[in-house]
Amino acid sequence: MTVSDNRPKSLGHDEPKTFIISGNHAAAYAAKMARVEVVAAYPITPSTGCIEKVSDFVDGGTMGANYIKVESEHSAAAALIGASATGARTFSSTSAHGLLYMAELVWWAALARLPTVMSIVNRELAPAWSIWAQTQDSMGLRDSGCLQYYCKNNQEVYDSVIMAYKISEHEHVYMPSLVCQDAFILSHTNAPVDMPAQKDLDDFLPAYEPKHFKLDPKDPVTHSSLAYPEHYRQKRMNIMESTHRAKQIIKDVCADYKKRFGKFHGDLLETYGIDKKTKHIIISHSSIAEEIEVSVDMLKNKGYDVGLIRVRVLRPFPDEELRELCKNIETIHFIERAPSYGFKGIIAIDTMAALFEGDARPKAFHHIEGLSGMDVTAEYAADLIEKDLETLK
Amino acid sequence: MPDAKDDFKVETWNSKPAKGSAGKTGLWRTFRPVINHEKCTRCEICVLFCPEPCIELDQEDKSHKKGKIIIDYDYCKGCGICANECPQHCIDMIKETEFLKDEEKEDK
Repeated sequence: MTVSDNRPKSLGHDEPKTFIISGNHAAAYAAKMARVEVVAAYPITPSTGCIEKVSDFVDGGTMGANYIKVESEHSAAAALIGASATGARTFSSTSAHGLLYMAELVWWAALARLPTVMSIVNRELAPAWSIWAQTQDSMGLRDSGCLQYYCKNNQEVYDSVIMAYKISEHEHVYMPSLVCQDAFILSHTNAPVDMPAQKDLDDFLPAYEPKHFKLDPKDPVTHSSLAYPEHYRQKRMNIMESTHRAKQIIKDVCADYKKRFGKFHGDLLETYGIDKKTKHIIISHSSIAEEIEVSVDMLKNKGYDVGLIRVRVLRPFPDEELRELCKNIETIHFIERAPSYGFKGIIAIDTMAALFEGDARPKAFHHIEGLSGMDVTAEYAADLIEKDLETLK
Repeated sequence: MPDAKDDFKVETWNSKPAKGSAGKTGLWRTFRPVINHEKCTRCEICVLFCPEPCIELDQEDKSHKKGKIIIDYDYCKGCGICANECPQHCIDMIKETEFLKDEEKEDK
């Protein structure tokens, strides 16, 4: 018996296929094809579709994972922590209040160095009750150590979940990943998603074999018990080092994935319509950024020298990459879905901090748009940028 | 991928059982269990029940044919479970302040 025979089964992917599916289902297919061993989840709109699909796969016998039914998101995350600590590849999906309810254990998974991967469907927080898109739920966890990916379309959701396992399980990383998509705009909208053959994916993503530690009755250890203050600095700086190193690992894994399967959505960030002379840069994220690609074309047709940077990975933050791209620009325009109350947009804060370590001091324009899933159309975004640029005249 | 020679390692919070890894917990004690060795039958019930575990039978001790029960006061937190379980009722829980008085007397 070979090693792969011991892995949970994932049937029905002998050949590369294209499915027309929602973002939720894209994440579910990715979990199945990653040969996830343990799934624990509690349904919450709009992420329910993902775990419903996983549950379908497990019930139908095409996915060999253990599906643990739990009574809350808090328990779901706790189950993943336990399973991951024994060396199992784990998966869950949640949204908004579900993610906040498991927040304590998201931090635990990160600080315990457990490489679980979760599909997060970004949803506005209550009150008032809303089920539409906004990214504060996961961005509020940006200091936890979790690697965070913000996807622009369903294909990227699928590819990012697969790549997230490879990155999180790298022996220099061992941190959880949140693969985020916008509620409804991606989670409930069907679009084509290409999937490689299972055997090719297995070559890319082998079984998870933890090298840092594993709970094993044959070699008992107490994990994450009490410790004294003198131990913390070293351990926490070890997380700092791992998450910094993750930047290069993300670039390498994305390049490898592109070479094998022809899919690339940028690594830490993605650029659109940028060259060395670009004077005005728009910075955005998630599905809004894909819409703004059209705005960039519209503005270029009107003679404006604009380009777009989509921040794909919020943590680790692409600070050097942004400094390099923004070296010679005059203005920077943030269009983002997540405010940090009392200051500015979350990506704006991080970007300005990154630029401060360089020489560029572009004039910044801040736009918090698309709250609770409000459409940010290409025309609307182009209009915002045009008005910003008119103030310079 | 990062340099294979690179010796960076991810560090986790793992610990293995070791004596006194949390320091000398005997300082937490309010009541001290004191064994009446003449009444003690060496049944070892106290050894079994001690949650720390800091009670042992010292078989090398020649004062009795079965040895002698020893409490490690460096780690005994004074919970009193041994005194409660002792079938001979030969363990007394005595306030630590009583011993302080003795020590003070000695100092004088």
